[in-house]
Amino acid sequence: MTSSESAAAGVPARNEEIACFYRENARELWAIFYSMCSDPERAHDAVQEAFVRLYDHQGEPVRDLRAWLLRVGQNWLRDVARRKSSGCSLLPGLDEFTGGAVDPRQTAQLHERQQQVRAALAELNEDDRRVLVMKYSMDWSAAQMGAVMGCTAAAIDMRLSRARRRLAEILVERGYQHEQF
Amino acid sequence: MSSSDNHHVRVQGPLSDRQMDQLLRDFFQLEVPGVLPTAGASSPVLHRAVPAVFRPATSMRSARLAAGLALAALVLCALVLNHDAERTATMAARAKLSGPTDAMLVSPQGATGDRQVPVGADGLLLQETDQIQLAPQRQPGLVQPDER
Repeated sequence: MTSSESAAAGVPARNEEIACFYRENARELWAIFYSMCSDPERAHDAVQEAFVRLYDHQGEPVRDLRAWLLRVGQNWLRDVARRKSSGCSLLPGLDEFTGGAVDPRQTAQLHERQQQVRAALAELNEDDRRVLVMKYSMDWSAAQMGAVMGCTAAAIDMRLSRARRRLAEILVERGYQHEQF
Repeated sequence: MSSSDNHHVRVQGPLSDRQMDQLLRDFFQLEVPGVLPTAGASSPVLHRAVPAVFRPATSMRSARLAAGLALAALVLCALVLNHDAERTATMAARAKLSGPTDAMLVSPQGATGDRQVPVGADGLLLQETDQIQLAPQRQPGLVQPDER
């Protein structure tokens, strides 16, 4: 096999490896980026950007894919924040309703709730926000989060409870209205 | 007015922990882009590879602090050792240059037995050094403490 043939054979293998890594880690990367910017679309763009750059990467082989992708995504988020370009962000939650017959009032309420909770999350301290994002966006157990954050499951449960309480206080301060039956 | 309006009332007030739990579940269900794969959510890979940003900030901070203190102590030790070495070298060089005459007033010719030999740069003779009174001299009119 010539070098060009072996290189051609290596490309699909590499692409498959990247695709596999994407399936395994994209959601977690999104959660990490989301906890940084509190913007679902921007966090998703950061994930896409990091993987696109990985596909285009021609330099030295990447030893630690996760660390490399995190760094690229974080740098991209910083650049975007520096430029302060909001871009053409979609209204959060509206994708779920496209194509279906949806009550406009319900849609507006959902949109308002998303905005209020997002703003309240952004007011939390970093640790509280992270633990909530890990719990509710990735559905991790307290033991999983404890292993990642270097503390016991009981400590994670306490932190989760405190974070929820603090978030509830912020929502009340911001005039959040919830449904009561 | 629809029938649902009679049952669902939007109120402002404190939310219970159960309500917050449900609210956050609903919120993140819409917040997480639907195109993202879910395979990673339960992957054991996640336990092994811990993203640095999810590590507790306190442990990172204390580790950095400890490393900084250790480095500062190392630099301090190096400075002290370097200063001592320089001082020792300077003293040795000075002793070598000045020779033994710096240490004591003796004749450069050594023990010659001749007391007319100058022992200092100012021409002081060895014989003259014998006449220097080391005891305090008495001044007239002053009473010494031991004479009372």
